[in-house]
Amino acid sequence: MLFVVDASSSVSLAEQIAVQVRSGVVSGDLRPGDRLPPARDLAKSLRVNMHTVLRAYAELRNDEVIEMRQGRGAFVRKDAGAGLIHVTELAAQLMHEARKLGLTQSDILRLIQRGGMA
Amino acid sequence: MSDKTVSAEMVRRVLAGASLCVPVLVVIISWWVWRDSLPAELASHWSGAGPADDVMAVGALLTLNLGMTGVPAVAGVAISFWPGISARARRGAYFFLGVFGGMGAATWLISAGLTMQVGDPYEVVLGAWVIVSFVAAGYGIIPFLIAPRSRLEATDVERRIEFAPSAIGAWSQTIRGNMFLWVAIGLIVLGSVIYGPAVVAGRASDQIFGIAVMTVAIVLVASFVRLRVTADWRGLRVVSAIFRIPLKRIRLDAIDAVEAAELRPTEWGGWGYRIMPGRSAVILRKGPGLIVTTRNEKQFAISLDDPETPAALLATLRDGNAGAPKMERGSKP
Repeated sequence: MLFVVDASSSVSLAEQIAVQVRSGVVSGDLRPGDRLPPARDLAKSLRVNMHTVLRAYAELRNDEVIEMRQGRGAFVRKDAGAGLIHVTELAAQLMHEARKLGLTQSDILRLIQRGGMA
Repeated sequence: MSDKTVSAEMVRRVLAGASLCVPVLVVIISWWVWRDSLPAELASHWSGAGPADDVMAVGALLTLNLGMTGVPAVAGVAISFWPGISARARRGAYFFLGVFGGMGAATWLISAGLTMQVGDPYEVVLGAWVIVSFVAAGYGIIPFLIAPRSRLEATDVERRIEFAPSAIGAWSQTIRGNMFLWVAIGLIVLGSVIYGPAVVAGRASDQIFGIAVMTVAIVLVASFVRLRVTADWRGLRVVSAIFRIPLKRIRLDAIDAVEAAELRPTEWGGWGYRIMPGRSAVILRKGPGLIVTTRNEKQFAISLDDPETPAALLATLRDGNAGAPKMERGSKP
């Protein structure tokens, strides 16, 4: 899968990597059981510190998206997709309902942001 | 394809066609040099390795061999310039024309040379000279290798990935070569059958060479069972995910063109790891794959589920549009 990191982004590099793995699981680019690139290799490819990738992988492990197998690397969990897909379905439902009410995309984003602050 | 590449391919085609003229020239020149020493009849047919059982007049045999070598020469030159022939078909034609030309020249040289030496054409013994005519058939490989290889045309214009100036991208995928798994299992079974009894009987040292060769073969095949393919600012790399052995590495600055294409095993010499003159490939199935053409006109292909993304990324990185942010402390290129 494609990883892109932007050093000038306000989002940390580790978070950027983690978000892309989550997106990959939701989009189907990453399937349950797929192996993620070794942290050292991905760090070299993205020209970031290996600990940055390890932080991203640790976050994904804590979120139960991936599992780390000793000496074998990081794998997408068999049940990784379920929660993320549920959120994606909710988002699609939200978009559908909001459009029916005539809300624009920026209105929806504002509502989400307000919900997140609450 | 650039004008330079087109003209280089034309030169190779002309050279390949010209190489097919060599056998006919050999026949003509040898006849010219030997014409005063040749007897009226030459040995022309042997039923085995013994004496000749048929003869022909010099003129008739010369005409026959000029035909065998001249037709391939004329045809070779003609197809060098004939438009609309695929590179693959042209190379195949050169090969077969070379086989006929080489055999024609060898037949003439053997018949004329041996008869001239012995005197009586019925006394001419073919002996081991028969091997020469078979070896001469290998002449076909010369125009085949000289002729330009087939170049797969890009399926579309190279795509690019839009990056922020400060962003950097990398693509990585682990692919499974189940075919290699089965071959490895087959080799293990075969090795067990062949060398198992000797190992059990404590005579492994007698078969140490065979066991070593079989072990190396199994490791080599097994290294292709899981491959990690990476495209990044360094270029394209294929590494055995099991043994971490680098199997292919193409530096970014060596990449001339990169494309996603439909790979057909017949065009790449079959399934598995294929090495051909100027081309190599890891073909796991008929289907999508990545083709990288290097600046020294070599091609590498690999079967991938999603070749469009690495193709676009490598093209973007090669053109220097992917940004090269300052490296974090601790990372090394």
